[in-house]
Amino acid sequence: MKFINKIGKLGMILFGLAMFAAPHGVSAQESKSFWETFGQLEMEQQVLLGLLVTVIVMVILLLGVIVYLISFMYAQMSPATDAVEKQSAFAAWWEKFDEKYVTGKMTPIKEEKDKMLDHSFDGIVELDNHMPPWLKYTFYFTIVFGVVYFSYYTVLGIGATQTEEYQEEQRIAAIKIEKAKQNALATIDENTVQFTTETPALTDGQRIFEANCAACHAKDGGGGVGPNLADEYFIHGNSISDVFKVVKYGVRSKGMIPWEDQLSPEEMQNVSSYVLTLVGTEPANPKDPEGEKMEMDSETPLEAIDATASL
Amino acid sequence: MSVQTATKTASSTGVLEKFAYDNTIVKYFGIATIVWGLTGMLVGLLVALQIFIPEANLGNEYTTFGRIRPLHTNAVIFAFVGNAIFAGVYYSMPRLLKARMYSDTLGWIHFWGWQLIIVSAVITLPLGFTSSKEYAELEWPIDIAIALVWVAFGINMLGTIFKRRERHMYVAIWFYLASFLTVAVLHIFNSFALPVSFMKSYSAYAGVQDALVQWWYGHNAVAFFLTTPYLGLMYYFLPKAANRPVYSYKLSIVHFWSLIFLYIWAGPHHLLYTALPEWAQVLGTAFSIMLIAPSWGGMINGLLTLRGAWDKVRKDPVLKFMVVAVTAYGMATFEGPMLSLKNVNAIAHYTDWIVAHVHIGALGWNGFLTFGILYWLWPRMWNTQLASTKLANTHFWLGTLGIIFYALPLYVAALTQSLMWKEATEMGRLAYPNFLETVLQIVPMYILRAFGGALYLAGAVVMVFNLWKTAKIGSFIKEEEDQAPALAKKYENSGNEFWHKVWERKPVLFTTLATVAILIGGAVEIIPTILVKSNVPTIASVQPYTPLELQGRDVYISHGCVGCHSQMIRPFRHETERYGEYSKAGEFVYDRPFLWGSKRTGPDLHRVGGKYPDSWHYNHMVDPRSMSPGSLMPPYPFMVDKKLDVASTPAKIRTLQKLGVPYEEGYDAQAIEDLMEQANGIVEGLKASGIEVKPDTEIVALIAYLQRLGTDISKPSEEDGEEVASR
Repeated sequence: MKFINKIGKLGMILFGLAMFAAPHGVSAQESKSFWETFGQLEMEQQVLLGLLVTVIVMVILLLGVIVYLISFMYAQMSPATDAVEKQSAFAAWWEKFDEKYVTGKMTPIKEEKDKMLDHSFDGIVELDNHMPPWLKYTFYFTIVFGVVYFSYYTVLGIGATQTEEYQEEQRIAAIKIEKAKQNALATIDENTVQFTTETPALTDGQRIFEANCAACHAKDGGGGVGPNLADEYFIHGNSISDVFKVVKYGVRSKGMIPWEDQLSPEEMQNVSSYVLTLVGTEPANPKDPEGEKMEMDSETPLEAIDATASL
Repeated sequence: MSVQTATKTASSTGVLEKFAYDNTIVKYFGIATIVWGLTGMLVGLLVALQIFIPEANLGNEYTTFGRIRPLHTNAVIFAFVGNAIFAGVYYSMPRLLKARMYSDTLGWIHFWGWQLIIVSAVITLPLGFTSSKEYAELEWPIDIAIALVWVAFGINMLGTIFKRRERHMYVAIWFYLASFLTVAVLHIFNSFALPVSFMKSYSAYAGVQDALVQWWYGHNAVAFFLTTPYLGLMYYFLPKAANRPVYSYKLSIVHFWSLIFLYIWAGPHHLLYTALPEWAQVLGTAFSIMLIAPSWGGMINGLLTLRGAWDKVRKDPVLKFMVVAVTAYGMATFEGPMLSLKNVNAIAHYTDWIVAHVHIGALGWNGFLTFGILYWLWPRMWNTQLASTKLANTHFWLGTLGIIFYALPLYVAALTQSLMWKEATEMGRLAYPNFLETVLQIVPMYILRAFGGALYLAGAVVMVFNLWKTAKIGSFIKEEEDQAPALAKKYENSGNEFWHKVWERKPVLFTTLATVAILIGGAVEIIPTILVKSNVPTIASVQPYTPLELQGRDVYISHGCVGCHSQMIRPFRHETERYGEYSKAGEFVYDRPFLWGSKRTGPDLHRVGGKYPDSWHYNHMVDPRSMSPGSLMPPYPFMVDKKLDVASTPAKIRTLQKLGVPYEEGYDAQAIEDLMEQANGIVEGLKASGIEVKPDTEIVALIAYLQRLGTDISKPSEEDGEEVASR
């Protein structure tokens, strides 16, 4: 019985703790040293950390609720015992603390008649219990939190505004990208782009084409919203560099989207190469030619087309 | 404590009076809640299927997701929960005040008026008459009807209070009163709009201001329609069903006043990281955190009332439903404040997390409390026992499993999708640049969610059978006799009456104080946002919509596009990488209503203007999957043939002029000509791509609007200007 009582109280602490821990997790970010380390983490890590804290708090909380409820049920179902047990000093201290700050003095059900207000509403009687101290202190704490939070962001102006947060995020990302660029091999651009005939590259190009380009240019390059890619007419030139440029920067006025934000340079090289292999094929529903007729460079090997055709 | 001595009533002076309670109206409201509940849930299930099966949109505009989703939310909130509130109030209020409801006639006007409003919603929403403001979609004539019926309800409540035979008002009555008052204020202020025609109006507020007013309303519709009336119901039906005293009178005072005062402030937490002024956002968060304890006060008082009745909870399905309801309330009101924290909100907003959150509230708190009340009411009103406790238990488990299967998959879906949106590659590019990829990833979760919804609905069907059986074996008590002494004209208190007890016996004072409490928060947030200019910095290049774009915007509104597409790019790198420059307050000054949206089932559209050619949009609307393989967007082929109501243009221009949109004097006469010119331009362009379409169709107007979206801020230089013009 005593044991269960203790568990019940443990539940109450957990319950209270969780209540406090949650807003704390956030307010802790305001303290300098923690914030510094936190700020160095990547966005995803911060997000995950935040999530983790939230989840743990929720778990503790629910655990608390369960234990709390179980202790109630147990107390209800087990026969009453009047056995007096010896109390340790800690237990005595805890009991006092508990009564003052956590559960409060809960009137035993047998004695609740003393607590009854002498009036009933359609048979409903109210007890004159105090509100549980833990709830009261939670309320006080959230009010303090609210005042501090509001002042921190507005009156005192310490907290970053969302625009400042955004600029900081952009700055960190720019540094990261710069570093990544240095580490990466020489990147491909319109000056260094090569027509590639290697099968893996063309297979990759075909995959990219079907996922991103087929919507407007048709799966076989016959065109639709966008121009026919299989004929020998070109609007913006027929060299690999020309095609690469169209893919990379788009042709906004004609509705071609720039892909440089969505595809890596290598991917753009692969898909541009694949597009050139489509020239001369016979699509199912070819769109009428647009642009000028151009001779293909001799460097476009027919083998490449055969290679992809057999894929 | 002085409370005990102070409550000695002067009952000895009154004459014993006999009277009867009317159960018929309770029965009617009860049946209405069941019928509309089933309807709302069924529509909800359809919506859940449409999210992953585009064919479930049934191929016509009336049953397409954008039109059906508001039907679901309105049916559940105002028809299911609304009628349940009224059933509970019409049962508990006269009994708590020892007086029959003030007027039977008003009661019936209230009942039939409310059902007519629901029917009009069921008709107008699928037809596309909508203001597009969430949970306030109904157009102005229906808004007026709602206000009138609501006032009838209020008069009936206040009348009953004034002819009561119980000196003090019980805590349930406080909650009923506060709910009535606040909903009236919210509804009236949020519905301010200038009518264009019988079923079309433009919001009196624009852009940022409209957003703030809307979410002040939206959040407090949750607070004062879904929460406070239900707390009132809990305070009556829970102690009744458990036959236990309410745990703490003091707690009920503290949590009532703190709840109604604080709730009003929290609205802006729906607009974190948007173009709303930041001081308002911060206020929203701070007050949301402060709401934890007052909300939990209700849960704690409910659960502790069950102290000493836990053995009953094991056996009695009524109490089982109520315990889960109260616990779900506690969960939702803890989750809510957590979601209001900036960093959590940055993850959860626009995702299914919010959908899961509201359903913990709707299915758990509102649904389960309603079921508990119905299982308690039916045997009493039919003077019998519940037909089958076993079936009620079956319902309980179906419902509980339903909630779990509904919510958990959506939590997983939300986190998955949100992290996918944010994930960047080594080179700083988006790891999933194609939005569709992040949607298709979570389809299995959508399927599980629909399964959860189906379980919940199945449980409700079991309940209907059980209640029908119960009514059949019992005999309905139309009038329930009771007696109580009349109130003495003068109240003699014993001198040291507890201060709140004084308020409780003075309904006018009480109502006035409650009104003050609920007005402060809204006033502090809304008035400065509207009056202080610096809150919405203007942008010179932002111009009013052309007539065709305006009509296209109304097409967008009418089809409920806002249900899946936001128009609010938050200042996060992953959003500006994906969609373009983040949205600024000054860009929305001509947006009546605002269309920021609250959920991204599809990508944000604020900067979609100029991103794709007209022909792409045309093909995409006719068959989304032709342009975006695997897309789950409903097809809109009917837009191609549907005539645009061109004739309404001058009236729309005039209405907007009255609201302060700077169209030139007399522009209404010019509007149709301009509209046709722009439409013909688009038609020409489409013809070049081999698409034949008439200029006066919905699709042309919609394309015009989409191509305009978000482009004002980067008004093209002259060179680019030519390109745009030649398009």
